[in-house]
Amino acid sequence: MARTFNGPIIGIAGTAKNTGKTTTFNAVTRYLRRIGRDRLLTSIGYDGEDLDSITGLPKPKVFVETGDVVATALPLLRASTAVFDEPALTGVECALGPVCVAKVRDGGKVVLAGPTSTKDVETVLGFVSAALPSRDRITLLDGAFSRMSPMALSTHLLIATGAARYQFPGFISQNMDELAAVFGLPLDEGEWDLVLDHGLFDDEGAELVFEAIESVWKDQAFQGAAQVTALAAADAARMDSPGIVLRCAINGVVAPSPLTRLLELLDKSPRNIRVTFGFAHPISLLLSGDLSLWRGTIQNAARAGHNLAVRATSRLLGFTISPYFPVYDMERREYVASYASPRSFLNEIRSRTSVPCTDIILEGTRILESWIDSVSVTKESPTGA
Amino acid sequence: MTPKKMLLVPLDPVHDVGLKLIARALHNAGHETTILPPDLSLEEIISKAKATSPDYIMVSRTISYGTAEVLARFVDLCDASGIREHAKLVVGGLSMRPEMAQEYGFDAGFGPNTTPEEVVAWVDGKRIETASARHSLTKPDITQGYSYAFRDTVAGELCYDIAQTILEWAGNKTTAGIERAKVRADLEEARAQGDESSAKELLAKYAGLTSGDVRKWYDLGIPVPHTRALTASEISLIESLSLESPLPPGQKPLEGRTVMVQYGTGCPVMDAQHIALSLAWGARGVVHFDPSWGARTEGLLEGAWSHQHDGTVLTLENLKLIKRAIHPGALWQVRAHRGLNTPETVVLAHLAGADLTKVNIVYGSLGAGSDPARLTVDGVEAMRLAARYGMPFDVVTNEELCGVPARKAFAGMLIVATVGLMLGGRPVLQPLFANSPEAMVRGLSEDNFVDFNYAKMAVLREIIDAPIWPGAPVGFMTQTPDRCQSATMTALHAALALNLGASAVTIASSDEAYAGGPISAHARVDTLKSTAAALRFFGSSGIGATPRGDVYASELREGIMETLRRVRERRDFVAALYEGLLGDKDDGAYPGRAGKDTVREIR
Repeated sequence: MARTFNGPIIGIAGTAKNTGKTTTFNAVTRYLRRIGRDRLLTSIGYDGEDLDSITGLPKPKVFVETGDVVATALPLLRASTAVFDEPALTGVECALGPVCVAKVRDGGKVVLAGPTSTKDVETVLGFVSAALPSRDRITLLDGAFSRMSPMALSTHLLIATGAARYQFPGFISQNMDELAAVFGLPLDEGEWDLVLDHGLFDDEGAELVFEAIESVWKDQAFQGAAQVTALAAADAARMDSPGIVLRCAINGVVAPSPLTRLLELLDKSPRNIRVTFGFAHPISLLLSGDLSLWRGTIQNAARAGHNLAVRATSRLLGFTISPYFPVYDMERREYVASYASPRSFLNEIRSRTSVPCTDIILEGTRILESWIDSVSVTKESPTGA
Repeated sequence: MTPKKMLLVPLDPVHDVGLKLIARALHNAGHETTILPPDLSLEEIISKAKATSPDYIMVSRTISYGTAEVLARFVDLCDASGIREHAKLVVGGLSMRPEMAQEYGFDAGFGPNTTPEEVVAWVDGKRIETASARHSLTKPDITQGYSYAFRDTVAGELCYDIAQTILEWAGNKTTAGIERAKVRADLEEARAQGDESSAKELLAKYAGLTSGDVRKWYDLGIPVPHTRALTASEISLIESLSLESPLPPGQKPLEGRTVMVQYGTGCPVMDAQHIALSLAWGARGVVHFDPSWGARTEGLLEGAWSHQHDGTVLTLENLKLIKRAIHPGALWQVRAHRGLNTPETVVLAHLAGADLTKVNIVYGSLGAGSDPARLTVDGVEAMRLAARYGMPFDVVTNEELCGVPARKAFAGMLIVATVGLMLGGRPVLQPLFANSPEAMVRGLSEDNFVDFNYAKMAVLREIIDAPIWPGAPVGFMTQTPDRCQSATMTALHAALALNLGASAVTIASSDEAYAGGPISAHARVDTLKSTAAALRFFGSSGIGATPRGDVYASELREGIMETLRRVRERRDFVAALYEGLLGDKDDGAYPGRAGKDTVREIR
């Protein structure tokens, strides 16, 4: 069942801490104000604080303006220099107190600390939809660290990366390609023969899934009502079977190595089973195991006649690149801000990947704004099952 | 309370002690707990969690390199695996703060010094009464529960006899100090009523009863040397102080214990800061120290004054300003135990809202420069006023520091306390816990500082059922030139006093042991932290004396009785003071001269 929350949800995730999520968040917020879009601002972490909790270095502040709607912990709302309308409690608690929603009457600085789990983000978004309905609100969901899971609610995703993740542009571009490959998996919203809830993140799990698949395959009911899925002609010619494909949905976290193991088991099976796998969301593939193995796993699955798809997705708009990274100075015994050379860093990345990316400090926000412009104006909902 | 299922997860490779303590507390509270072994992979933990469906997953992890990423990934795995649909995630460990827990995605974060009880309370949906709740506590009444009956009836009979003679002698006498006290009370009443004309008259009358530098100020406006008026911005600094200071972690041993701290930097602004700091770090009350010159001058100033040297000038305005920095739940003592202004000091203390005062005719006469006759009359009036205002007062034996042996000083203390009882007051006995000259000369503290102090407490308890509040401060003359020992000595003396059943104890900061420089905030905090540590160390284990303690107690008791008998025989308390029955020249006590020949008979 699709969930609707009055409009698009743009998630701003990061590949690591200090990759520029809040800077990107602030830039998008300013643009939305400029073009007159309603906006809900929140964070699944803790954003806008004065100093980084680990490095002690200054962090970008979050400034809200009249008309913004904010979801944050009530004590932080009260400590803000902005003036708000009467806040409404959402019923969700976070580590810093009850999460409330309020519209900004007079602008000021605020620290955002909102719902941290997917369930709580849903609750807050639903609350706002009901309490402050809007036909064209865009929700900005600022990330935290490299946390991704609640971003699965996003309709669109920006990923912040940069030197704080890897100082070598080659690693950054490789990481971007890997992420893009995962987010490039097709959306499949059809029915499923088999739905498994325990994820797939070890070999034991692979064997359990294989047994479940075999069990369904042996089921006469399935055989009698086989779903014939169109395969590429070359593939069909290659295979022994006439092309019966079992549709298997796997909820939860999926890691590449156990999936490869599962594919091997399927390959070795005399039954020549072909499977269309439907994973919950691309993000569920990013949380366990080695991300760099996914491209190979996706290709191997295709070669073996299997399909990998997702049952919900977020459209990856692009990557923002930051050359900033904190360095621990052993002499001064403190962290200091450091920067890769912005232009060469970005150019090197672009030379290695075709995935859209920009450095909004170096290039300005034109490219970023074009991505935002591509977000549908109305009737957008998080695509999912 | 519905029992919950807890899964406790040590993410440290080896450290899981904290979780074991919490598991025990949760189990005792009726919850079902499972502790996973340390060093599991995150995926293994997720598998266990999915198999057991806990209501809470409690993670323990010391913050170190890479921790943040591990914790964030764990939260993501829980979320994506559907575990967060039914389980709350909690993280705890060294350096953990709620902001970090929020950033990592947990539902709650517990830092160092979080007790297992706090965790249980959070799980049960209750809010633990933290130190901030002490702001709703009422002030302790350290005199409550005491009958003031003399257990030693012979001592009681002696004390009452002597006290009776004092009251009879003082009954038809007055002094300029007593008159000023009455005028002050009337003057402030007139001001409060807006009766400017009466106030003007009374002020002129008051000024006529003053002398010396104070008189110059009233007559000519010349400030007393080494003082200046506070500026408006300084006053507003005090008024802007927040009273909402939570007790920092680790100071809980001070809760429920009445530890009083002295202040008197000379500057009310600094005093206010020191008071706020002391109360924030666990002190239950503060004691005002005024300049010694105030005791030798007839009259008190008006207005808000800063003083260049030790001691904060006693004026109603200064006291009211300082009161602003004192939390409503904290005790405040303004001392009136010496000098020419004791009755008026009690009046000001009452008008400013103080809870306690201090009166001791013997110490003030023999060790603080006040004429014995003058201070006896003034002291009786001060105690009468204290009783009228419902203000308990301590009777301190500071003359021990001059060299007066405890047997004499305690006799004097008991006599003065009995006068206070007869006037309807509530005296508190304040023996010194000090390395006094007597202790040094007689070798009473050669082996330890426990025996003689134990003896003091034991004897007083044997004689009378009254509150005992060692001061002021404890640990006097036990310090060493390198200050790093001072906080320890103070803390040990405080722990000794409280473990021996004292109702309260007064401590000083480690700076004050060598009052040759400014009293610093970190020294104050250090002493309070040390005191908390000492109380935590000893707990309720008790601190025992050697057999010498009982020997000292027996000797002390005999000496007190002997002194009381001699004073009663003399049948003239003031003469007894002059003649050294309660401390003589050989002891190091000298009758004071301030206010000599200023006692008048009332016609």
